[in-house]
Amino acid sequence: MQLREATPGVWEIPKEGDMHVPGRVFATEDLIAAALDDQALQQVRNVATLPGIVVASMAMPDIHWGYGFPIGGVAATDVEAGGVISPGGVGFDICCGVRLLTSNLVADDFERHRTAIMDRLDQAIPRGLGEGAIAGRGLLADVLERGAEAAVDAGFGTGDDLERCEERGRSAGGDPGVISELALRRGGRQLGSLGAGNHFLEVQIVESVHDETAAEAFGLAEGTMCIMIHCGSRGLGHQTCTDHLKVLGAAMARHGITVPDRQLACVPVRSAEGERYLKAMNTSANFAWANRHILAHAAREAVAKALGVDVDSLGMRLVYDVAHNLAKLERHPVDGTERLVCVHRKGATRALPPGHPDLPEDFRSVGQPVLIPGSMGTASWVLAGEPDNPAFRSAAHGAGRLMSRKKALKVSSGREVRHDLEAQGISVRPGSTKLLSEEAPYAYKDVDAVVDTCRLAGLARPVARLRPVGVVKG
Amino acid sequence: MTMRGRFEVLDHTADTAVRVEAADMEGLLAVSARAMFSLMFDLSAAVPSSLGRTVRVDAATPEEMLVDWLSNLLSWSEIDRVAYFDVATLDVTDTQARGEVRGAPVETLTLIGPPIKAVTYHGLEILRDGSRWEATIVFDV
Repeated sequence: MQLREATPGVWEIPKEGDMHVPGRVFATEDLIAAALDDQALQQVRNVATLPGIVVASMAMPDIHWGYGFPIGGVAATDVEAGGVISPGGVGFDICCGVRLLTSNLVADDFERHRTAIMDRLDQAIPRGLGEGAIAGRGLLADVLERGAEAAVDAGFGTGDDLERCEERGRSAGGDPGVISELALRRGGRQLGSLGAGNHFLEVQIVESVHDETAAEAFGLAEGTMCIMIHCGSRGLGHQTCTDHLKVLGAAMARHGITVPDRQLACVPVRSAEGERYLKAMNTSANFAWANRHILAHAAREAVAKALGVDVDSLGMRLVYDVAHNLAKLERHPVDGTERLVCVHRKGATRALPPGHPDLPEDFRSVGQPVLIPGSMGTASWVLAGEPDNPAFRSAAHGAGRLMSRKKALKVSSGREVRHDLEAQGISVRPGSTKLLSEEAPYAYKDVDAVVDTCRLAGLARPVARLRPVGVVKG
Repeated sequence: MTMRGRFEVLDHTADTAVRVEAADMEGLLAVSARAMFSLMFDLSAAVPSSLGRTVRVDAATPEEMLVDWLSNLLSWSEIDRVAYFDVATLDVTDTQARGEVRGAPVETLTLIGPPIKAVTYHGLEILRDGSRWEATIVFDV
């Protein structure tokens, strides 16, 4: 495969064969070298063959090998010109995302109450394969209809939070009637649960501020204690994607579509199957928005109990909640004309620029917070959206995996990883100690390099770096 | 049902993959089921109890049948909280399968890998060389 550095930090895979557009990867030399080690770039090429794709098949600096789309993949298709929607461009964990809470607490407060806070969070956050979730099945129907708004009405979080959620925590265009019975049964017992794998709740301290104005607007100052939550739509979303991959796989022939990888199954957005998938995806997204909302409420309560104070006194305000596995119908300029495009972000974060009308008023002037979690032992970042973003207003979503789980297991045991983290001042409350090694810091790329590439490429600008001091894992 | 075949875990950057070999399609389905639950649980001493289910799949291709079969086992496992790693009976045509599966409650098993979210089609191809059937399956975790 040909690959050339078109401009510093931007790599092009020239259009050839059945590609409709070139591939474009935002990466430093080191990051692109890591992507060359597996099939990630081939996946960028495969996505370029999707009908209706415009501009380029793109990948963010945290690109790595996924299934179908690369993780970090961004692809926009022209809706009114037969452009397709692909569940593989969203992933099984529909609307997986990240939310960040700030607080009135500082590092010293955490240190004084470290054990109590971590133990309370340990008890409060259902995770792993364990039975149990915070909300009952009775809330499911309303959540599928109204997302995080339903959670607020049921007593989880506050209405103020909704202003600071992407889509105000409710994806339009859902229809709970299209969700299968299997999906409802899988998700019914999981509303308000973290899951496992790379999902986590972390207590973090703002280590450094890189954009004072944006940090102030986001409520982040050096030394502030924050909580970051990473999870998605759980079994309900996984089943919804599985259901629709089968339907779309069968429908492709009727639409005259072939794809190089069945996981890229797709149909025109403007087709019965495409519109039904969009409804199911948006409904599943409502589960995910509400899921993170409920977990955040539980985290606030846990910290308040640990400190023996009223929850309102903690100032644990939502900074923002972003999805990084979603397809959205958005308007973007394409070849000088504004077009309605279906932007797939598979492991990529929407990054609205300053002044965008969809942003809450209190940080409209600085741009959307872009949340980039790192690994357990390094750092996470808050960035802000930039004008003239070259990737359909998208940025990275994490550090990106470097090492397979199999290899990570061979480096050190979960017990050793826990010991090393604790030695660095990071308290760990694992659902399973053994699984810690698969998510060890050495299994991930350098998050600082990913963030710097975002800055260089104009994807988003750094606002604050957060260091972990406590990790709750599935 | 005697399980004839084997599997090995492969490297995959973000997810988990296995290569499964068996003497026939029945074996491929049975070994794949065992492989999938082995990625999550220590099954070395697990004994299937009478907890069972009947799983039926109707697919367009053998590959889709394999994905459907494993996806069904995974879904019911999550709902019933039983790891259905043992296939008691299996009737298979080219694209249809009906199996009686048994397993053990997940609470009785030790978790050794991340829970699998879903079964993917990524790179899936069933290869047949005489009496040797092989498939590589990538799981989203």
